Amino acid sequence: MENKQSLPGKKAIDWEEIRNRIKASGEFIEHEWKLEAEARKKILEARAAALAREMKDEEDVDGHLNVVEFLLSYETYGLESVYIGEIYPLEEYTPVPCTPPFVLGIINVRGKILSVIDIRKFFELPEKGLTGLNQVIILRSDKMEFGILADSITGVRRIPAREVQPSLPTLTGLRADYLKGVTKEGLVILDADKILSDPGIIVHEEA
Amino acid sequence: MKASIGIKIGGGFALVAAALIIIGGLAYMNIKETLEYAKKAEQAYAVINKEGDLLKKYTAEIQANSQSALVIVTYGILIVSAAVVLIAFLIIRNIIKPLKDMTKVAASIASGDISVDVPAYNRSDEIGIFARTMKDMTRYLGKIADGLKQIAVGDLNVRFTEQSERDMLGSALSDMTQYLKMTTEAAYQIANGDLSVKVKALSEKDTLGVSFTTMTNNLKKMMEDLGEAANTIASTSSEILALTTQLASSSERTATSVTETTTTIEEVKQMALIVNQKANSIPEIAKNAQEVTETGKKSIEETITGMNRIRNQMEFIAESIVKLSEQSQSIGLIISSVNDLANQSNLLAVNASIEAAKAGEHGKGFAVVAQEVRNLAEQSKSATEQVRNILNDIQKAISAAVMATEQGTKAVEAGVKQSHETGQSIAMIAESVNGTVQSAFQIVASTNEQVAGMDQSAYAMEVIKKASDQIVLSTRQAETATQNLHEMGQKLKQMVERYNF
Repeated sequence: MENKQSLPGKKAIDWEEIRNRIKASGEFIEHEWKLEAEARKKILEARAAALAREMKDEEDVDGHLNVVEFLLSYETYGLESVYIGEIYPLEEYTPVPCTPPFVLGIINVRGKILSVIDIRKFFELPEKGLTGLNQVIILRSDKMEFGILADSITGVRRIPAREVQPSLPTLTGLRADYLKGVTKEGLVILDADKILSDPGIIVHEEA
Repeated sequence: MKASIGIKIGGGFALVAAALIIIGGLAYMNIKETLEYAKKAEQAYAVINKEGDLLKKYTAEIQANSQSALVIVTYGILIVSAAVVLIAFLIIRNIIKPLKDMTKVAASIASGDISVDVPAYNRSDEIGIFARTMKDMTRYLGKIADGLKQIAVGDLNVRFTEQSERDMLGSALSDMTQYLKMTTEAAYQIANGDLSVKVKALSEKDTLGVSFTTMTNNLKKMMEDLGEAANTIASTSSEILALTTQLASSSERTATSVTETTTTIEEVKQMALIVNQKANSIPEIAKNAQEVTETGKKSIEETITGMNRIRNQMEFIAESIVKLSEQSQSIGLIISSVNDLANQSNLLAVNASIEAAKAGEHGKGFAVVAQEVRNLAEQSKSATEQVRNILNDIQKAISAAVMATEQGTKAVEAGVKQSHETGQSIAMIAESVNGTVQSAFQIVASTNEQVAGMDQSAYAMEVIKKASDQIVLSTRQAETATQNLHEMGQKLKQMVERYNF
């Protein structure tokens, strides 16, 4: 009973304050859950305004590249969206025997069977530890259709064509052949057309 | 007269002869008696003078004289009887009568009476000479007797001239006086303390001399012994004096010590009384302690009850926290599915963008929308990330809370255990207090006995003090007595030293 004075060095528990705090947090959750109609309307209006903006650089449309950026082994690469059929999450795949090491296996995309290529192995890039590798970018042309592995998709960007510089002279070998260019930010844009039309990617049955 | 005589001569001759024979016989008898007297006198003289030999000789001379007288008488008788008958009558008248008188005188002398009067015959014949000689003899004997009388009364200044060279009696007297004088001189010297004097015994029979020698020797021995005894007394008394002095000082110290001891005993007694008082107050204190321990016991029981309640509360809190944890887990599940949705939306937006790009100029507006959808998906994702972080924090907090609750529960259990132990300790204290009370009672009894003992000790000390005082007094007296003894010994020593040996 005397001990209610509490031990030295420790503050007595203020139950009233605790109760108040719990109540306040409960009220806050309730309040935040049902956003007020006015606030919601403001947000939607802001978004509508943003969507209603006119495209300023409409006339420069030819001088732009639509690029899908993706992360692979902690490096950002880009592919022109023209060659990309779609992006599909890698949920399950089937390894195929008697294939080169860069062929991971095959996947089923809405009934269509596609092969999946690990371009790190294809480009003979060093593997820097384990990464996500849970996205498949499906490249599509008239002749070929297959998927390449990506850790994650960073986004879709429009890049002015003049900003794309040709391949760096320091890059040599296989990598240099498949490069379309490099941006100022260091984004490596791969040449999807070349990859699609590369004969090395075709696995001959007789091999 | 002559006629009658002549007539009678014839007839009477025989008668006369017979008578003469008878007379001669009588005279002979008388002479014999005289001889016997002489013998008696000899004995008498021997009694008077221890040196009786001389007197005996003298008497022997008298005896010899008497014998010569007897011869004369015999001759006379023979002459008278043989030759002269006629003149016998005349002769008888002129000779017998003086002879008879002289015989009487000799008898008196023989019986020791030398004061007898010797008749003086004025005639020149043998009778007259005999009478004169007898007179001389008596005078001589009287002188000797006078000298002896003088010696007998102690006067040794006797002057005696010897009558002749052969005067044995005189020389003996002279020798005797000289001997006595010498002995007296020795006695005088001894009386004056000179024991070195030597008295030479004249012969083995000289008892006086021998006695004197023995006496001086004995006296010397005695004096030596006395001297030794005096020395012994002196030294012994000195030692005794020293001892008594020591004893006196010891007794005084003892008295001082006894006084100190008495004081100490008094102090001890006071202390014992204080202890007694203190011990008396212990039971009351112990009673208070018992009450306190009783209160303590009750408090401990209440504490244990409270602790148990706290434990129950702690269990409830733990359950609540576990529920919270489970609920946060379901939040996590929901958030995870939201994240999934965001990911799918994102992918959809990307694909939409790709499609829009493919649509070329017509797809431009759609591309913007797709971008916006993608942004929303990103926001949703980051929101779910935040929620997940918060959920992690909540999970951590819940873990900490569970741990704290667990510790609290353990602390409560330890407290309960501690309280039990404290209760046991208090019970033990109560027992100890009971023991203390018993001990205190014993202490009270002990101190009571101690006080009584101290009183007895004080009384004993008083007695010892009196005894030691008495000892001091007695020692003083002994000291004085020893002093006197010492002085006496010194005196005795001085006395002995006065003697020269």
